[in-house]
Amino acid sequence: MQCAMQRLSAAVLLAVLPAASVPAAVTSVTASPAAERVAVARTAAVALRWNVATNAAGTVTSAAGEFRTPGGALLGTVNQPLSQSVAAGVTAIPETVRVPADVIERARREGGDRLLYRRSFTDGVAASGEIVLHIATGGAAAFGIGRVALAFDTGEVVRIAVRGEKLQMHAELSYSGTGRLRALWEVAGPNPATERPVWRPIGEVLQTLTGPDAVKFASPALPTETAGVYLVRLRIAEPELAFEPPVARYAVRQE
Amino acid sequence: MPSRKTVRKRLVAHLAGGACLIAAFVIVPRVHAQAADWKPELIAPPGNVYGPNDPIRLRLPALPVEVLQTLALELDDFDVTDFVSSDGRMAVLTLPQPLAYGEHQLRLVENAPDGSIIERGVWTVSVRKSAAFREAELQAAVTLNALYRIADDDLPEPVPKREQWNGAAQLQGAVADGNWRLTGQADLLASGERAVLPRGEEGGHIDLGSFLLGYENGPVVARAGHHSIGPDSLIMSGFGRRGVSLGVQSVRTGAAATAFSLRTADVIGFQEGFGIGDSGNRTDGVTFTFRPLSGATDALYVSATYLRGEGPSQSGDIGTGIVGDTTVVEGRAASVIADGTLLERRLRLRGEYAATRFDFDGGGRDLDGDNIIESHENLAAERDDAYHALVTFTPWHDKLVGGQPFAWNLGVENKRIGTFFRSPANPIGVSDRELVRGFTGVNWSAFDVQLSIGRERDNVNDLPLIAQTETAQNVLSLTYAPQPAYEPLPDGSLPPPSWYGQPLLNLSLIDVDQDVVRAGSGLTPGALNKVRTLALTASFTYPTWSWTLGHTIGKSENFIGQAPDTKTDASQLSASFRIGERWTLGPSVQWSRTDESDLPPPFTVSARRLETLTAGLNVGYLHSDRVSATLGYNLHRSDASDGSQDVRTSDVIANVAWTVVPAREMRPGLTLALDGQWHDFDDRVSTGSNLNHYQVFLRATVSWLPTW
Repeated sequence: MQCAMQRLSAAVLLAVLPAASVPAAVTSVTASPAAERVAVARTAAVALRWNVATNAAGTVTSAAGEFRTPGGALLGTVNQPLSQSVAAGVTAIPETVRVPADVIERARREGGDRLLYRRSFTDGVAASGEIVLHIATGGAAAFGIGRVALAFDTGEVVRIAVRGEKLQMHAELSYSGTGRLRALWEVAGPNPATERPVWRPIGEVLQTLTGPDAVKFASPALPTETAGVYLVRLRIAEPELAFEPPVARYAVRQE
Repeated sequence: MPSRKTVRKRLVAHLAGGACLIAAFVIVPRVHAQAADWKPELIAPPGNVYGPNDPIRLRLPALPVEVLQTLALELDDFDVTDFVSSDGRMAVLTLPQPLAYGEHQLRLVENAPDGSIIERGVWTVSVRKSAAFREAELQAAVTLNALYRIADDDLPEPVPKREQWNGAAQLQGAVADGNWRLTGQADLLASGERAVLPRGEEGGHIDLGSFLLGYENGPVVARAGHHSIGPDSLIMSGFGRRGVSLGVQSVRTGAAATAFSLRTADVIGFQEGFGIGDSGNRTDGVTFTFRPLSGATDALYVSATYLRGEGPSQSGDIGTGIVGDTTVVEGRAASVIADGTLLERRLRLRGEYAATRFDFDGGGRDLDGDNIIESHENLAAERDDAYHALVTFTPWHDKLVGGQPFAWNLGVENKRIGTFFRSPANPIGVSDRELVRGFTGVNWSAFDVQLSIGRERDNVNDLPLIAQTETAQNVLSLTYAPQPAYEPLPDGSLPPPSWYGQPLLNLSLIDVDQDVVRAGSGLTPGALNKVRTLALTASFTYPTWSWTLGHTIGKSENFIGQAPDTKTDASQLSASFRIGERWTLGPSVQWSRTDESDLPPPFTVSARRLETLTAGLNVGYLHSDRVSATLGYNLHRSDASDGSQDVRTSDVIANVAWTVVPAREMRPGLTLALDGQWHDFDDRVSTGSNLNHYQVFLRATVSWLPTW
């Protein structure tokens, strides 16, 4: 009887052990959206979510992304790691990936009308997912900002103004596709903190853009009442950028 | 000791009319020169160099007062007799403003009784800084702030140092002599914390903003520093970069040639010299302009540009304010522009043709990570071309309708840009488009109407796998801006403005329809996007205040489920008041509401509403020339109905400043100030980054405006 009990315990243990000791694993990865359009001969920014399914809590990582043709030929790599703590189930990991113009052009010359962006996520056991990037014209491509350039009226990015002077910043945006731009003009200073500047919104930009094209926005009057050094930027909330917004600087001097 | 008296009576006022006034020399000589043959003498200044503020002295012989009454002194053809005083037999010209460096013509004339003009003397007066240089000047505007934080609460980590300093300087100088002139200007920023400066920790505590050195010698013009090369074209536009250029130009014919070498990706700070040391990040070229029709120099203008560039043309170095694609590209481009006018300038014809050869990956992309670019990893360059033709016509000049000027113009343009047309010197240039657009404008009385109708098609005819879209874009703008004619009242004062002040009303309508006309790229023919925007703006200006009100209604539809459909209402109100001599007030409010529907994945709701509010209030108080105070308040709220965002930001900036010693010429000034900042950031969705803190600084500012 004892022997039978021991065998039963061993059998139960054997039955339970595999489930308890199964290493955490990424069971599937999908991209949302599953497909997007990028402009031919133009660098694109594509915002997507990786829906990573895992069977246990842990940290999933992806060392790099790859651009490939549908046939599997490598077109380029994105050496930007992604990492996120996840619970068991499906976790959305956002990414805004920059697709260089030469990668798109390489795919087109391979004879295709699309390319794939693929990432492999692992939590001990890996799985990969991909988004299909259709090659389209700049007008039909997904809405995205490819370039932002800041300058004062004089074309400079560093400006010295006299106290009380009327001062405006201009932002020039190059974009593809059609969509809504939502951005805030923000100023830090005088005497902004160096590590974490305290940005205060002074004006909003809200406009539907139809591209491909470039557009220029002027800021509200920048504060010049107090002497010191200021930072100014146009923080773009929509669409998502593949880069940090640029920052310009100005100093207000006492008369 | 001769007495000196300013002569405020004019020697000669109206040469043409022959009416002459009197000059009163205090000492009237007893022995008079012969009226017919006398000559004045220009007295050389001390050191034989005239400075900008030096008086100019003429020695006159003893002349009868009747002759003195008929004399006039002209400088560069302007009558300056009013500024002549007497000093014995000397006529002394003392101008109220400094004379510009360079050569000036001085002329003394006598109005003879018979109406003729007798030129008694002509001299060339050279105003110089010194015997060595005609012009030599250096100006600086320097500000240095020393701050001490006397109070704070809950500052985010890492807490900045209590003692801080920063500053700025603008330097400007010029040296010239003969035909040559050398100029220079530079902006400098300084901070105790390098992270505040453009290059951050990579730079020093003092760093360079933009700078420009210029050299001119007759027809030769050379520049080094931040500058752009004109004219704008399909291959070079908005390309202001650090670099060098050398040009020659003919004033007589208008012809010019300029060779240039500019850094492809702009750079800032004390680094990279003139920006041309890296051949892998440089754009070189030459541009010619000339006017081939002699005798009508403005009738036809021709420009040609060739350039070759390499580098990351879509981005700039750190701190330049430019971010974008950092891929190193390589390209060559050429452009020819002809721009001319006919029919008394009522007809303008402009045409441009350009061709490019662009390598999208420059030296190639290392795909397999072996640090070697193999032949299959290097894309061959693409060739493409573009043209732009523009015709504008103004049917008549000086047309009056109902007693008011009536202006009408109309035009048409056609632009075709190849899919692979790209230039390293035109980072904002767009490709793959064929545009036909007609436009017209009417301006009459206070009304202005502008209408533009355009049709644009993707220029991908040779790429059958790629979908082709066609876009119709129509723009209408109506403006009403009456200019009230204020007739002075009998007492000479102006009447009070009407209750609406001086108004400016504008309505603009933008209508865009985009359709897929050829399948491909995962698209099928049919409607793609539809965008309508109606904007109304009204502004009213009064002698001491103004206000502006605007409202925009927008609707955007996406027919393929790629983006949400949106309806947007946005309003803005801003005003500026001057209250008495001491107070200024500047409130502003921006509000927007966007209703989104048909949200695509990854949204989990089918519709939502976004609302934002941005408000500001600036108050200024000028207690005296030396004491002033300002208060600024900013508020921003942003929230979404699906709970994805709910953010509130509030800021207060306050400042009281006392100018202890104003800066005067070589004497530095000193200002003491109390600066305060309060910031509250409240993210009700993601609370991890919430902030609420304040800090107060005691600041001493030294300002210095020396000129040498």
